[in-house]
Amino acid sequence: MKRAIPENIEELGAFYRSQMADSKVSVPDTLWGAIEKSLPASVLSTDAGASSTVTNTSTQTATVQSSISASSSAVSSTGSTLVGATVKAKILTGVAAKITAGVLISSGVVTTVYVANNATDKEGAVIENVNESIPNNANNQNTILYSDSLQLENAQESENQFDVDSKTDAAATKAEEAASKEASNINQKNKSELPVPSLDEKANTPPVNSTEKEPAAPVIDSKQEDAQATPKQQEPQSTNEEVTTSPQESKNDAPIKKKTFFEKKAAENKDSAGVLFKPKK
Amino acid sequence: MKHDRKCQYKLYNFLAPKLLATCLRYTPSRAEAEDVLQESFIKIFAHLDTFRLDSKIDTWSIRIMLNILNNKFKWTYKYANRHDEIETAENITEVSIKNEGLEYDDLLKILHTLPELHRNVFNLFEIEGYTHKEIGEMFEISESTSRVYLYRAKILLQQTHKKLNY
Repeated sequence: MKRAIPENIEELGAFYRSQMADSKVSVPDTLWGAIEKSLPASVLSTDAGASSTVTNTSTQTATVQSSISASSSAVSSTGSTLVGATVKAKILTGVAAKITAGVLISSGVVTTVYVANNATDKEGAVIENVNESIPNNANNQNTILYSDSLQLENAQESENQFDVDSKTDAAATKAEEAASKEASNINQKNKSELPVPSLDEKANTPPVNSTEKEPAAPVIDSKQEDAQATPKQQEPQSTNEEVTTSPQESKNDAPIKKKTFFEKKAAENKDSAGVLFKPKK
Repeated sequence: MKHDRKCQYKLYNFLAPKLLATCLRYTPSRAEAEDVLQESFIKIFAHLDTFRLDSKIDTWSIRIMLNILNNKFKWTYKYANRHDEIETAENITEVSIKNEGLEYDDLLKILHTLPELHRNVFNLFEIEGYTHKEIGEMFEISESTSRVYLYRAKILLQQTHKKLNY
């Protein structure tokens, strides 16, 4: 941003700082090659397998990314950082991962996460396809690096969960994690349970009421969930409101039958569990 | 990370533009800046395990780079005398700026009109945020000398601005 140069000598420093401190200059493409060539062997990858393990990263990348984005909202919503925290991640595709020796470099909003290639399963065998850097597109301000060992445990678990154990953020992240878990469960429920009206039903229902009263199936954004809702608020919204029909709708769907005398008596003689009993004489 | 080339490349992409911009404020030419940048990355990758979590990685990397610059250009001003006569903008290198507004490159040109010690003190204090104590230790000068050179740098910059009608 262009700014007029201040005449006051005391303001010169601030002017130059604002114009130059965070500036970036494009780097020639050849420079990385030169650096790579001159890196000593101790710094470069020693075994050929290290780079060849990155063969089928697409699934892993996507899943880890979604876990990490949950973490980033946890960081930003509480306002505190996760420096030095132990990070546990359960990956959404069903592979549970725990970054045991994760090194968190830099603080603030998570933008890029590097997961190193030393992933092992419970038996200590090296697991392939975990060596990948995962960009998180939420914000582009800082970089966080998880390096060293990534241990996978409880493979094939199918939970949507993400844990961040931190001295400062433990409570907040647990709440957010619960909210996102519940939101995803609710989403699945809604998808499966929402009644799909048949053509006959549509014909029976008056057009005005049906458009006004039937809300569209909700698409619950997990990020919004993290930021706004608590788990308790979510329960009634989703299951009750969306699946059951309103009284007006039921009126429109079918004419109300008057109960006969015998039906009324039978209803009265049912206990709370719906079991018929004989009235005492 | 230390042995992971892909991660190293990601880190390089993240840091290199900022490090190069910083380096250009201290080196007289771009070629030299790129040399220093290359050397810096070798050191950064080699010492990444010593990085502590109490600072940002870019700040840490800039410190490494400044040490390299210091070694390379022998920034020792032990014999700099703060009572030296102050340079005037008339004596410093000509700078031509064609743009109507001052862009990054123009400000860089103006900064490079300053004598080396003035420029380095100004950069370190005003842009990098070093203290006079830290600058004094780096250049083997006293804190008060560092203050004097900062003030002189500002005067010279002001003179240059006036000369350029800014």
